[in-house]
Amino acid sequence: MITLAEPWTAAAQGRINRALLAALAHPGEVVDLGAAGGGRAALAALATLADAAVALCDLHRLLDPAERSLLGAGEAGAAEAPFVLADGARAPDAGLRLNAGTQLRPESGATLVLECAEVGAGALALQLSGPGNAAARGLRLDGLDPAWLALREEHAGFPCGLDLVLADRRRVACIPRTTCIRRND
Amino acid sequence: MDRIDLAADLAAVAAESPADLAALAHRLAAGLPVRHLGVPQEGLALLTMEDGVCGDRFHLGEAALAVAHVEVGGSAGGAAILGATTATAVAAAVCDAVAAGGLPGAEAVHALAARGRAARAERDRRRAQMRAATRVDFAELGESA
Repeated sequence: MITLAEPWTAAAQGRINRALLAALAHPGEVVDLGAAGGGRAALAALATLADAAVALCDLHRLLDPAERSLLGAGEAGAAEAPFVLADGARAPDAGLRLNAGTQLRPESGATLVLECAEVGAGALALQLSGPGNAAARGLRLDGLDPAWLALREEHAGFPCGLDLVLADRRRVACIPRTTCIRRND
Repeated sequence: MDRIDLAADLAAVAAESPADLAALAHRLAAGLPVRHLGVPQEGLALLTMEDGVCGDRFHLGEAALAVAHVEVGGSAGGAAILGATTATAVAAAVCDAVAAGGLPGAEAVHALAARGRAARAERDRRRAQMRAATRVDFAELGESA
């Protein structure tokens, strides 16, 4: 078999890209990426967003060498990487610093992809408000340590900050840096 | 055969008869495990040249390029072909891996590459003819002025 499977095909990545754009445009909206990631929506998102032109920090070694090779993204430390992948169920290390961008280059702020047990269901309830949501939108999550939300707050300072992509097996929800988060649980 | 020569020969086959290259690659891949080491890509790449006087490198312009990197039966192979599609680059990479590893089917790859070598030789001959037609002898021009 010479052809690649999803999510590595151009057609799949185009479809996932449109889904991610919709999720970013409406923070907290749960979007189903289907089976493209082989049971890991985070992999589908990264396959679409990252390539050899960017660097990735796989904080908890969630990607196997074959996936890392196909992504093509270079290695970088957490403080520099434009893309960071982590296990959302594990609390971030104390003192962890990510790249929030600068006033001159806020677009270099990191996209933090967190793997969760469930997106759209779970005990952790968030209220999201800000651009993209005319009214506050609720988002429930399972398997996300709240310390990641605290880390996001530590890095906030518009226009700088972190953009979150929360992913379970098939679904994703995005929380860009412009969104205000209030815990509702 | 030098591996760079083999790559150039397979690129010539890709330009002349990509269907033959694809057919051979699919036949080889049917009997061996194929793993992509990178996502095959096609796009524009800066074409770097070296001037013939000072040896300085410069960018001639952009060229359409397709690249592929695969592993076949434990042997790595790659291809970067101007003006090709990703499917053709993958086919060339599979053939390169099979030839490099001496895997079953390597003889068929070398036979196909020989066709590419003949095509390259013909192309080089035509280019030499075109260059010869533009030759100017400046000494003669000076004497006749």
